[in-house]
Amino acid sequence: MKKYLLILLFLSIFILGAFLRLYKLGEAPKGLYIDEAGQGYSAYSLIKTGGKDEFGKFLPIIFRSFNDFKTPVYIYLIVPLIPLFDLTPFTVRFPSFLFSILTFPLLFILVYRLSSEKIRLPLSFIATLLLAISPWHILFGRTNFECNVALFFYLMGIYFFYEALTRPKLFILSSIFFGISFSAYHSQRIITPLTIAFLFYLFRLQLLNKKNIPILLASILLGLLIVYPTLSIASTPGFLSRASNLNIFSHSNSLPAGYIENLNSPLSIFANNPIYLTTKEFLSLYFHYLTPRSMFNLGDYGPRSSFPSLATFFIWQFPFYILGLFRIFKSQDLGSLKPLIIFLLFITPIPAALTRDPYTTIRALPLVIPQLIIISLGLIYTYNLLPKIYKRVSLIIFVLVAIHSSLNVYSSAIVLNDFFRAKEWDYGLEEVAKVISSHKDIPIIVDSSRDDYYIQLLFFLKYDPAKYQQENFEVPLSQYYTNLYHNPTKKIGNIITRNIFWEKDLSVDQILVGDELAISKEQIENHKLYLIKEVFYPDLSTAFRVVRTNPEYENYQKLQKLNSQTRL
Amino acid sequence: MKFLKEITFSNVQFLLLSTAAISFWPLNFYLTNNLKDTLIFITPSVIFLISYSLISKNISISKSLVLTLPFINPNLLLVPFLFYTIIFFISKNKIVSIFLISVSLIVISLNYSNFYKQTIFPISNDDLQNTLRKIYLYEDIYIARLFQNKLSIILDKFYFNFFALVDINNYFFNFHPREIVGENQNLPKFPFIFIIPFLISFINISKIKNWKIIIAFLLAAILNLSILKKFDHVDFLLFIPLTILILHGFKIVFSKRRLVKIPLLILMFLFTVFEYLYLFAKFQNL
Repeated sequence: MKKYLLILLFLSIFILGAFLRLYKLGEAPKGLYIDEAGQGYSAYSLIKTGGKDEFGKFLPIIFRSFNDFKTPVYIYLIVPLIPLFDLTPFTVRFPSFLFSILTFPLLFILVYRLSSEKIRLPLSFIATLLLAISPWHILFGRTNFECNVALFFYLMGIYFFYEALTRPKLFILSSIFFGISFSAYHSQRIITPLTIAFLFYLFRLQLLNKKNIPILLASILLGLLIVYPTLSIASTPGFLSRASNLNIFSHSNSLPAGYIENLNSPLSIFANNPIYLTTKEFLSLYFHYLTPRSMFNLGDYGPRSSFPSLATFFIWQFPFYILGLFRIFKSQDLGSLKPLIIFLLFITPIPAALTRDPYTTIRALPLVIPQLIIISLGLIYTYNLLPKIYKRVSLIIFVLVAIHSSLNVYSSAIVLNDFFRAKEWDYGLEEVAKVISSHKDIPIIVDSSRDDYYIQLLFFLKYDPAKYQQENFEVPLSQYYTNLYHNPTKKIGNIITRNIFWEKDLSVDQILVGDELAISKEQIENHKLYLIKEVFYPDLSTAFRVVRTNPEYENYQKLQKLNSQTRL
Repeated sequence: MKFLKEITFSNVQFLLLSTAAISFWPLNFYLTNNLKDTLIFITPSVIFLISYSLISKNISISKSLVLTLPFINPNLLLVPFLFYTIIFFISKNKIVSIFLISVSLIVISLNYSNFYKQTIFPISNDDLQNTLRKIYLYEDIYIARLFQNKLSIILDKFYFNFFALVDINNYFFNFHPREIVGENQNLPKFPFIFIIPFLISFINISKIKNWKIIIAFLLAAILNLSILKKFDHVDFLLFIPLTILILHGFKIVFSKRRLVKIPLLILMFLFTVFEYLYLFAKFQNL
């Protein structure tokens, strides 16, 4: 009976977590961000052109996209979904959802496996429940971000490593999953090798046992084989572009944080010393991932990696986080979990702290695991301290708080996010694509002075990738990973994405598409343009305007101007 | 003083590091503001220091010194009440605590109307309009009211202040990388490298003598500061308890094996020198 109750409890948690991620998947957030569309269209191109991306590269190791060279795993995961669900926002966000919910049972069995017998059951359940309602994990389970998939494979690698300590053949599986996680996201390129080194050091005596060495060597070779394609391009500008642009050690484009400008004094050698400033910068960014202010109040500063009015953790979890921290460092009865959680707590923020952006939750997603487990430990510790008479009441309160938190996620992630952040998710382009798709006989210029909208147009128009490859040239395929040139002009049939040149473009009968800055009301009025469609954000501000030029009026104006100049 | 003997060694290195820890925040404050403000805002910290020192000598009546804080700075009106309430739960002498709580309540009642204007409790029209706007976005009015109401306006401000005050980046990196824009000077308070002894000390806080008094005062101070509209400058009150934690951290570092102690000490000395030179360079440049 008790076993069935436990299964029922787990299923309830699973269904809750799945619902919070599946409800309006593809519709909320409203819009489709450029990176999401890019990954979706790359997958679409792979399936339509026999394995070539939109640039014509066959089975890329990393995807060029907008010269940000995306990791490949997520894109290849989208490929088999396109025949099932077609090319839609739902399709491109589905792998995130799937691997997000698969992380629940994985976390459960990992915590259960590693914890001491005294706490394994409550800790597993609480940690899984907290993950199911975690705003941090939910956000990346509802949107197209590679980090969620990478986290799943990373945890699989850790789980099978521990299982392999008693069944050595499972080292093969651990190696495979670690290898996939390495290729799945940029952060894992740092934390996966560090984790392997840590686990190896922790269990070195057992691993270097003569019986285990052959399987260990085979696992290492297999892992290297999986990561070899990624490593083979590790020195190319394409592979390094992301790291070199964002890392705090690169001062080619910006001075170190805290640099005192115009300091003409001998103190400058010390005050503006790059090692001192960079060390300080790194530590400030690093501790920013561990400080309660980021976790419980501010959250991620990026509008697409946070929900309005909601941080990465709920405020009520704060006191349990502090208690849990004491518990994890002081307790001796936590089993194998303690060293792993302490390691993850300190190591997982490192890749994110090496970049300039403060508290980027996408790069530090693995940190959610140790922090949730620490909070869970705090909860259990508090529960154990309570007198018996209050224990049942505290359970009821906990359930009510969990329900309130779930409603809070709905409030922020669905209601407020759609209203306040639609612009950040490039809302409106689907409607623009519908409008311009009915004008196939006239040239269309889509302004790209502020943003590259071509990829969303390709996505929503489901434009033939083979045709796109023929119409557009970026770089020779032999320079796919090395040449960082980006062609700002794209051709999609009768559509061209480039800057609008008002002098020239108004004299030609064509359609212009742009945001409110590109095509203002004054310009429509002054040039007597025909407004075909105005697309609005949910807050009723203008997202895009689709207008048709009036060359007759424009030419007449030019003639008038010429005549008046001649008279003078 | 006795409490210093608890953590002071006949060790020049320790004295130098301690001096660096004790001087940094007051020096920074003085250089950024003026002598008068420095004296006004440092006085409550000195009061706590005297009180704590005397408590360490088992002169428990010295707890009553905390009652003087609201008279030095009216923004600290609730500190005595909160402090004595927490002490009530941990102290054996409940009668003294009840007496002190009663006196602090009288002090509050005499000065509350002025204090209220400095707090986050008055709600502006803009805040109300924003909340109303959000309410209309929900399909279900009950969920709307659950998350958008007057209490949520006050709580948002409270949480903002509270978490800023418990943010370790506040004290060691002047809130960097998320500095508070507008009404905060974002002063560096301790050399950043002292975050190491601070965290070591925090984990081992129960080893500090009268650690419960420190925690009680920190909690009381942080809660009071969190309900202020502007806590900048007033948060100087936290200077002494945090410094005690750092000094205790030094003690733990000094007790480690040479293999651990020496690299840590080298790092601490080196970066402390850089921090002070940076401080002087910055003010020289202004």
